[in-house]
Amino acid sequence: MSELPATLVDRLEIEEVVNRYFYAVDVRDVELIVSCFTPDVTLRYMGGELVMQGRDEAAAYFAEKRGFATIGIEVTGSTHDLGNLHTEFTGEGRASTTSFAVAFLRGSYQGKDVLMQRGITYTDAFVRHDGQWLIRERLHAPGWVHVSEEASEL
Amino acid sequence: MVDTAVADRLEIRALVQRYFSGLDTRDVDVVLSTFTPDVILRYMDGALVMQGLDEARDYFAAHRGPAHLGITDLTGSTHVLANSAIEVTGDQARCRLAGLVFHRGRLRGRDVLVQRGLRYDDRLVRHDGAWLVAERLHATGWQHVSAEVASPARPPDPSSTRMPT
Repeated sequence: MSELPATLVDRLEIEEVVNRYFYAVDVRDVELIVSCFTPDVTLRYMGGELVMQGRDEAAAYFAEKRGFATIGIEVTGSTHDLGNLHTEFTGEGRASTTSFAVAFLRGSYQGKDVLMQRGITYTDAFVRHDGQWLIRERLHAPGWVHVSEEASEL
Repeated sequence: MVDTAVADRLEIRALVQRYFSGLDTRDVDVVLSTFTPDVILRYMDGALVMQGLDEARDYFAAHRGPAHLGITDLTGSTHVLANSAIEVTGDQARCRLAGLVFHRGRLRGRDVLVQRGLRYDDRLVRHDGAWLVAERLHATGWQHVSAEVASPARPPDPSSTRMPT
């Protein structure tokens, strides 16, 4: 039986929440997405341009794909890859994280079939809520972007 | 304090990474080592079904996945485990994951890079003390083809840069 220090287990559980969020975004499972947030979550997406308060507003944001609409892409498929995750514990049941991810967005952009690749930084405040780590505050900051046009239909 | 649930989920992620590593190094034995003897694999959204290790070996040894997509002269691939949702219940587990694959090869006479989003929905069992995939649905997701515009210089032969022993 393996023994893991509590902080290591906490780090892994936090990383699993970040991964679960990305998985849920990629399969468009809004219920699974909001399961990563506390009921009173505050989300600031697109660098703070779009602010959602609470799970209901969060669910509406993801169900309506407002993030993709802001970018101007009609997405037919996506994959979010968590590159790096930095976690600091800031108190009992509290942690702050910075996630660096790459999003692969396949879809239609300015009338063309494209793959849009974006670097995204998420700055999250986690809390332990009813025994599980959840995101209470998030700042979503899009970074670099690269768009390539489809060369050949399979 | 022991947290076996976290340890199980780590082992399951490591299993997926071993499978991907086996694919990218063309080591079929490593790929097969991630499956139970009676594994059921449904690839390409269920269009290709393999039952047991012998059928699985044929599928992976013949690169039937890329061939199904029309990719020939495959010179390399990289699989990335992007994200996952894993649930463990005793000696059974479900692992849903999203991944990426980069295939370098030829398509319709052109040198291309094919990038694809993958999804696996796996049922795993603890088999002789180790987690193994008992059943897999492999779902094709988005895909994007970009044509080669310039080839960088060929990298040096690895044997010429090896440290003297």
